[in-house]
Amino acid sequence: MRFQRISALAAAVAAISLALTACGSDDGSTGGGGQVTLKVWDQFTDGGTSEAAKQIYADFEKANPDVKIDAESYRFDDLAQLGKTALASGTGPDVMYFDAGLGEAGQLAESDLIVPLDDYAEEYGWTDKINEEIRTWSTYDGKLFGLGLEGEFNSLFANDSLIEKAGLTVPTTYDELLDFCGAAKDAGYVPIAYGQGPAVYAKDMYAMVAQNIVGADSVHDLIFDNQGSFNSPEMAKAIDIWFSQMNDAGCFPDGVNGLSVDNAALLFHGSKALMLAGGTWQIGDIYEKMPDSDVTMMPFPTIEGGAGQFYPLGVGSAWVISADGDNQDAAAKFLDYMYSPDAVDIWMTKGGIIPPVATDLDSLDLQPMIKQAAQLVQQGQDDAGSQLGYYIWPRWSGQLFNLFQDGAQAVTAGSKAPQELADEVQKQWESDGGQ
Amino acid sequence: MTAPPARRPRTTRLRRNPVWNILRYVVLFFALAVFAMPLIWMVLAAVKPATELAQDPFAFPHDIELGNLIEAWKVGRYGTYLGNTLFYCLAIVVGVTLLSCLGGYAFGVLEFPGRDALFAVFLIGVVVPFQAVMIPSYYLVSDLGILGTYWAYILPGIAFGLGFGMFMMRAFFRGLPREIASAARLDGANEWQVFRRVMLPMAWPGLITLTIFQFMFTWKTFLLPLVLVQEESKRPISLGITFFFGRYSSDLGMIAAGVTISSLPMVVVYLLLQRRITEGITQGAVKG
Amino acid sequence: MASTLTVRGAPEKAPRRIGRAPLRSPLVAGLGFLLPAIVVYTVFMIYPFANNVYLSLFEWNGLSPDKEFVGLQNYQTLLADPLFWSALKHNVIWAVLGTVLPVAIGLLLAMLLRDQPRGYTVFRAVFFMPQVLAPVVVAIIFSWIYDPTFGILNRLLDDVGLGALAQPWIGDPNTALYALIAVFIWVETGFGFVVFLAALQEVDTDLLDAAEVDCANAWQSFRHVTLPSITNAMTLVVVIQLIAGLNVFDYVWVMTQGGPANSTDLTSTYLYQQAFRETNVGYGAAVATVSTLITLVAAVAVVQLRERRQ
Repeated sequence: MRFQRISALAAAVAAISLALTACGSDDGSTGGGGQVTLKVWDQFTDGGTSEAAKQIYADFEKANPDVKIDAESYRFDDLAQLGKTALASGTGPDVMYFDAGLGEAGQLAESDLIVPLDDYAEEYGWTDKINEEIRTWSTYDGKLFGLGLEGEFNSLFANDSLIEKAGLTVPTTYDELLDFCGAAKDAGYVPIAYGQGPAVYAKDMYAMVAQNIVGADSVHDLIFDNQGSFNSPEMAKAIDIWFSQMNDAGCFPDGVNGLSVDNAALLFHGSKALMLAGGTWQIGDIYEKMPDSDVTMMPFPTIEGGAGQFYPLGVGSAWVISADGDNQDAAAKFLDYMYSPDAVDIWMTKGGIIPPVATDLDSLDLQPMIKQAAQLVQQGQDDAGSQLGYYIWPRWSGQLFNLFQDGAQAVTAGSKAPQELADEVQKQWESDGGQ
Repeated sequence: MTAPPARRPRTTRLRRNPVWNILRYVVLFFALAVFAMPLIWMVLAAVKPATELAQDPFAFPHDIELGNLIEAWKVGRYGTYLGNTLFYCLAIVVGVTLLSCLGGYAFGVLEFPGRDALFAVFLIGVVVPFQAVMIPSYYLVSDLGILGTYWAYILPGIAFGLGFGMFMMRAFFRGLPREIASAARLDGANEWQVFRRVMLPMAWPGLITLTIFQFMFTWKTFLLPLVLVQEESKRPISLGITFFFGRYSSDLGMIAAGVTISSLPMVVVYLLLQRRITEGITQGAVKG
Repeated sequence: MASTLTVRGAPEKAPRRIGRAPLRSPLVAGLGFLLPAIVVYTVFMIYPFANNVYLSLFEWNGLSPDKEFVGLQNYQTLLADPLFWSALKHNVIWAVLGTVLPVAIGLLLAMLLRDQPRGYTVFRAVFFMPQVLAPVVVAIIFSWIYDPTFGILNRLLDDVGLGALAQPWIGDPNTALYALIAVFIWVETGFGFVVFLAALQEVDTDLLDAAEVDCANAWQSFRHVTLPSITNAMTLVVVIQLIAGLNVFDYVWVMTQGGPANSTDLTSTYLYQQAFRETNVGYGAAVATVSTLITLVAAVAVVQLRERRQ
């Protein structure tokens, strides 16, 4: 009887091996007869964007019957980790929508794992079509390696009706903001919905405040030309303002270091917080969760002796094409389609994503803030008097990125001085070669 | 097969002491609350309408709403994930128990040169964290050409279970009376026959313990499949659920529904087989 | 030629041959049984681990085909890296509290249920329940419980009049590590509990009765009769908890990612961050090698210590 059980085990093993061999054999790359299967890894995991992506991929397949799309979606963090290993081992996808930071896609480019797109850019006219500012973020060592899809910038959002109800007015200067925080707290509201456990928006808030202090041009020169330093008194002041002074003034919810950005946003959606800190990627949620409220987008208030008000613009991720295999041409065709008028329409209306290509916004049915953001993104920084500034973190290494997140929490917790963090940032920046 | 002999619960002076009884039930009920509340809260949150949830997270729901659960089931692809998990669990558990059983017998009963050194090498597997071999494993799996297949996770999964499996089965076989094996050998049975006909039938309790351990371990494993399983359609539930959480990160109702759905199968299995499982764990563990 | 495996005291005798010939030598027999395991284990465990040790001698970003050999430099860096040391300190705290408390609480609960009082089955079922949940799920549940604004823990404290104790739990560098360890204890207590409960049933009741007759008090009888009888179970639970505590990853990664301000970094999260976030694969490999060694030494030490005592 015991033997039967063992044989049953053996039979089970045999059955599994059979099943496995059967399941494991479909590995598609270039099929016969000119049919190409493009393996695509993206990050469109949430409702709207995932639907938009699915529809666009399907439309692309319809328009290009010789290309089949085999797409997998990953979360941002998971893809950052897996994508690198997969490409390096030669088992990655043909196309990835990948973190455009210098420490991420920049590394892939440096290791020749993704191909430069300059020739394709000429062939398909991307240089004219896609915003130069957006292309900058995925240009490494003068070569274009990626195409950003989501033009985004950092901002604050104000729930105007709730602020009015609380008997307050929207602050326009930093001093007013500090008073506003105190008064809002007294009135029983959370002044600004912001969380940094983990501190994923810390880098954004830093860029926003720093920009208002030193101006967009100085930030540009610092991150692209290495002119200036991260530990100047002004840059240290930016850290001081957001992570220390504002926290001390009670601007943030209690336990801000343990509050996730998503849960912080809930405070705003639930009309418990008067303002929200973040950026354009939050607009979709705001309309969905609080359709009846009167919310406006605003830059960080002016700081005395500062340079004005700016929305730091950048891209989080960019399409890149693997150097492995020989599907690059099909991949370029795929990329081009992502910016076609039909696709742009779907990205904007369904996904709430703002592609950095000129679009006739009036012809689309867009929510006011999406439209406002799209106008800013498509207009770009070059316009005189532009309110747009620059992201900072995409030009940071992975080390610097982590150092800043941890440091920001420490400053808020009071265990690190702002200047100390600024010095650490500059030191790491220098050891990274100050790109 | 693992039912212990019915044992007389001991009655002591203490048992008869009412103060002691009250005291211990206070402690026991406090512990009960601590262990059960988070789960109860999650299940309640899953079936509560959002408005009620916001007002009072503790109260029992006035209305029960199954919308969250239904939507979570649909969106979360739990059917696929659950099937994958069961498949991985089955394959890895069978692999680990089979190999550990053979190996445990060799380590525990046979004597051959280098035995203890070899066993020590297997023991290292118990302490190696997966992060330590994550990148090499990925390259290995891709070099072997099994990336993208179920094998990519199953084979490393088995290798990771072997350390503990060997440890347990060796201890178990050592605890079995040797005289029977010797007698069988005297009767001319070869070592394979001794193992199969004599020792193995006595080793079932150990095997069951190992099966339970390995099943629970595989059910919980997260990092291994995260790195080694690429296609969504092949992901196990421990991994699939993180995607779900990522997507509904701020919707407590949906998160609670996801938690409920993904935990329910295991909790139900556990409750049904409760005695078997707890006794199974200890059969191997205490005697070994 | 007699195929005797020198099993303790087996008298030598020429075997009658039935079926296949007996296996030729002890080594062949031993290896025959072990071969499948050795193959799988070597390919999927030893080889990757050796590879990891090898990688720790290089500076490599995980991407480029070129690795730069740097000898032991990564290990030197590690010795001088304050973040590594603080992560290791957290590991030690975690391993100690995450072993002692689940063992103590598990044993206490097992003692309370030793004579199988009314409600025994329910208590036993519930105390073990957290063990069947995936750590990712547990981490999600507790991030909601600890949430500074929506969490039920602070609300619960408020409701029972202990609002002063409300904390940002995982948001304060001073409490975050302990809040995470509490989650680990919540999960792990059930394991020791169940093992002890079974071990207690095996304790010789006559000895306990004798102790009672001798008017030993409860503590004395626990100390001198019960405890010595469950040493095997104790060693097993301690070693398993210790290893689990030293290698813990999922809870921390999901709940705090090592924050706030590195206050919950463990060697496992630190090496993950180094290898994948900061693409210092060589350095991450060095951290991995060292932390594996530490776990190994700790586990061996505990086993040795117990065996020497006995």
